[in-house]
Amino acid sequence: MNAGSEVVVVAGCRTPFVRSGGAFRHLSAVHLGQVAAAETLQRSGCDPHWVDEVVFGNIGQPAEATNIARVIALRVGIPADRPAYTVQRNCASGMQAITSAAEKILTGQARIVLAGGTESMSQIPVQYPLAFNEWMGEWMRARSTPQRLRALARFRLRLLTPSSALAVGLTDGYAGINMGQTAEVLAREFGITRDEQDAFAFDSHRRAVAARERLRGEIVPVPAQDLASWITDDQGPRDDIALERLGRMKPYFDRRSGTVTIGNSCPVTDGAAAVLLMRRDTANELGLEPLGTLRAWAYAGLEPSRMGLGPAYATPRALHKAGRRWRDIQLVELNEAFAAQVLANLHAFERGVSAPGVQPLDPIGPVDRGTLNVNGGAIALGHPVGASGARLVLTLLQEMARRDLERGLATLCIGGGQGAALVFERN
Amino acid sequence: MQLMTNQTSASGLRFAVEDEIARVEIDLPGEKVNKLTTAWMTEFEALLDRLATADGVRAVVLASGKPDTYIAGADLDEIEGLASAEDAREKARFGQRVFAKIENLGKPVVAAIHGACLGGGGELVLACHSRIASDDPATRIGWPEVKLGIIPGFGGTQRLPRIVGLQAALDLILTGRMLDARRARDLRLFDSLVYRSLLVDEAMREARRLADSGRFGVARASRRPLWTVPGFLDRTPIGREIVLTAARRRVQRETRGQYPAALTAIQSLAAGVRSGGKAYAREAELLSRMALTPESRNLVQLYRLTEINKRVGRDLPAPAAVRRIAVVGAGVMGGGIAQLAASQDLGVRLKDIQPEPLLLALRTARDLMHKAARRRRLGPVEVDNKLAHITTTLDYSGFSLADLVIEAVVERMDVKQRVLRDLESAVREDCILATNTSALSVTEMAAALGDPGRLAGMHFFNPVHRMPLVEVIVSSHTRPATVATVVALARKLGKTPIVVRDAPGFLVNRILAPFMNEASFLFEEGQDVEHLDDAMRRFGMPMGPFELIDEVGADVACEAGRTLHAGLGERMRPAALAARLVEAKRLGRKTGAGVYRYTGKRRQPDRARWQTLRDRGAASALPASVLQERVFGLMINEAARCLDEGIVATAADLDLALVFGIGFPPFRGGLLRYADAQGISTVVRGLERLEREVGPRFAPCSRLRRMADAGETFHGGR
Repeated sequence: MNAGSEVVVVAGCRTPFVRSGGAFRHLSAVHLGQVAAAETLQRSGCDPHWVDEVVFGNIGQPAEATNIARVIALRVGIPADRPAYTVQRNCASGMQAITSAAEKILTGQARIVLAGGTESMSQIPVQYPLAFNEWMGEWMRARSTPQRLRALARFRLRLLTPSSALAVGLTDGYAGINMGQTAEVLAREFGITRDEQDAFAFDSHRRAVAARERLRGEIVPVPAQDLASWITDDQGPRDDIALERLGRMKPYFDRRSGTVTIGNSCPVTDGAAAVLLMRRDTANELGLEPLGTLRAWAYAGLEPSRMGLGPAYATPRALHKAGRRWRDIQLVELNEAFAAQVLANLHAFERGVSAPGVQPLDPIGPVDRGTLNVNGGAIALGHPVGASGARLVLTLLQEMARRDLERGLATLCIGGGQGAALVFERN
Repeated sequence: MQLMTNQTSASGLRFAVEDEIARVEIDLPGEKVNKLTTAWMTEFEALLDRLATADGVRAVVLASGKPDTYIAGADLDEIEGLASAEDAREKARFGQRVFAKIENLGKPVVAAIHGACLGGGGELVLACHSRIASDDPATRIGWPEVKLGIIPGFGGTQRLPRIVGLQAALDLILTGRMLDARRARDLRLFDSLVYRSLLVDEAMREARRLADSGRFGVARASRRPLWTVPGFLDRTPIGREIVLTAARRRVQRETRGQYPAALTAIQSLAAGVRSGGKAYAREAELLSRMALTPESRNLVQLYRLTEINKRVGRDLPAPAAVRRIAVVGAGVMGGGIAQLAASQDLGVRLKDIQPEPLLLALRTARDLMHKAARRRRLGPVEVDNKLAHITTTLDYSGFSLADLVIEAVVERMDVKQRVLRDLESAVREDCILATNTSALSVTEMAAALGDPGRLAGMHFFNPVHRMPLVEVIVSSHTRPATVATVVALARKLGKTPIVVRDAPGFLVNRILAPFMNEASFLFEEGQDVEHLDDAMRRFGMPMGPFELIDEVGADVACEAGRTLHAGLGERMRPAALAARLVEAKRLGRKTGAGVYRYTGKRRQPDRARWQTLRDRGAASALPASVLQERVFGLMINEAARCLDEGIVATAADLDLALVFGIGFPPFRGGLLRYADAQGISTVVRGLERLEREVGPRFAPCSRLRRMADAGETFHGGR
């Protein structure tokens, strides 16, 4: 491939990440996505009229914007004749948007694509049981009084029992276990202790707190809903984080014998991130400075109950496609869904996986903790599920530029049993 | 009888019969819009007579042949050409007779309305048996007669209350506001709305349906139950009298009797509801009393000035396309401009050096848009879409995307020059720069730029979303293409642009200065504050001079006075009042006290203080006419100088600028029209007398003297 036709990221930015129910609880996923998208265009100096297509990742697709990418595109002034679509690969949706954009560009279907992810986990609705839907249908069809009475007689209060679409969504649709429970599985299989997990979480907060000033470079301040204050930083990282307080927290997903707590898991979060992709020669032509080249990427599948191990399976594939080895990678962003899950991956990278009944995996090498999630990760920053994939790429590229590194990797685990890994290079 | 025709008649009537339904199209030849000329009305009457008896016609559809107007109203030339009250009454009676023929045709008449349907056009459709309109932003209906100093005289005051109820009719006729298609349907003015391309087909279908059923009569207001308040007020004689009395009181209070048409319209509506909607003769009589008043003449003239203003910029090169703007400075003005631009679907990059003003600007924008949504001018989704146009920044990122940047930072030459210099390196080469200044020299500002030709002044008035005027200030460097682009942007923002040459105070503030300054001198001579404010309000000004000082702030007024004095010389020497207020830290409403005291929003006199603000005691009150002569005489004199110096091109622009910029009373037609009405020689003699008695600042300028000698007027003709 000649250098002109490779896909580069020229700019990006994101909203602060705010724990759900916080300052962004009234801001829709559309709004958050639109802020990140608009600012990405403004900062890059890319005229919205130059953009050929918009791809956004989103999981809890809001009813008022079912193709959320399209609404965001129009809101930020991209002409109506440019298409837009929304992608969903659970936690990797933001990455999927980026790789889908890259495919569009590489196949010559688009020159410039705005990609990103957005999620308002605050606004994922509460839902009624399906039985209530059926009852409503019957009630609406009832015309005569006897029909109505019959319908009324069939009404039961339990039809109104709400369930949180969020809780349902965080439960695996095939294995039937909750995401937290998949982390418990990994903790047991890899022998990861509670103390190790808490120490990792502690470190994530400390790194994020120390990086606050640095992270402002990728964050666009967003006014809180009442427009009385600016939210300029991620709200998750705690200055007052203390190991012993983490140690006192009760296991959440397995109360009796578990080790995964709220403290060593990522919080439910609202936020959005966007990046602008194009061919290198397009960037040159427009005078835009690339942040980095998307060299290769890969997705991998594994058992849903071990979904957290996705990075360990996706990374070797991506490296292989990039023609690189693990030791070539100078900086890694690995999404922190759960501390246990991250630690399990590090284990797998270093020693491989060879347990009976588990997909075998060869080791690729040890991980230098000094190059992993150097600015903290989702345990501190938060994990707005549809947006995190784009956030990892953005944070990776910013830090690579800051450290003037050549090769980096962004990877995450995907609910349902998948992993994604993207290799970026600078030269 | 020959009915089948597809040719347009000389006066613009075209029709064809399809399946026994006559489709009549109104299409005045050689005109951009349809208007109700006598010639057209005469032919229309004859056509109605024929349609009434034609065997092959069972129903009639009335449509327009113009792209985006239905009927724009009566012909202004004919209104201005009315020779006498008798003449006006005859015209009204004639129109009433024609429209009555629609109502009494014996066959259903359906109006198929797309585009503006105003005044007499609105009255025509009220006489139809059914009104079907296009669901389109171009479709609007309203009766603006009162704004032109007259009343609807073709049966509108009789039929409108029958259809929408008395309260809604009063509101529509007294405010003259236009309704969009959906709001008109909600009021049942329109019976249904259809997609634009289906309009005529739907109307034909409706006409056939009415003809088949044979049930088409006089439209009736929706019958709200008598026991509800609106039902009681609209439907019982007592309720209606309450409504009429309240309306009369409100108009009296709000217009101080300066707009007799509003009161007359109430009379006509009252006669209508009391007679069951049959007081047509009374309506014609009342119209005839209004048609020749000077107020009406002035208001019609003023309307013409706004039409003439639409031609401003025609002699300039084509304006550059402006899709996105940037605004520097998120204060009251900058924030207001950002909101306005967003509401007109322009992208806006708003920059400030502090985050808090940005927040305040966003809040103000949101509140204004929500207000529009509450009044149903915007849908909830539109609010979000429009607010999304504004992005904010603390640096110059994104400025390369702006087609035009408006600078609205603090009014200091050094700061403005620095900002402009920074801007020049942040924007594209073809980006136009505009400065929102009310006092500083644009020419001097331009000196800071490498390319001074790209800069023009763009003086918005406060509050930006409400004040209709923008002074476009042209420095000696400004390129014509720059002017054209700024003028086009002002129009796109819904404002009236007036092109003004760069000179101290530009146009509006320069002429406004004597308003506050001369009143201050009169105060210092011992005249009472409230007496002075009252005299100016009675003249028709929306605010007295001291109220105005408190609103703009004594510090701002003081600074403006100083600038004008320095720039224009001795006749602009400021009175001491403003400086003394500044010294006493009484800056006006913003500090809770200025000339007046303020508790909350209430304004209260502060008599004890007034004495300390001047050196001599109270004098006996001068009559209002004397006070007015001193203030407005000076203003006329200054306006004449502005014309003479070429600050503004025409008397028309000048009059429009003062009406839209400072609220000079519209019923007087403008400052120079007011001067014309007095007689220029009377004005000059008055000024000469004041020059002798009061001081040299009254010396009439050479242009005024020349005009007086030659017997000229500012506006020429009538």
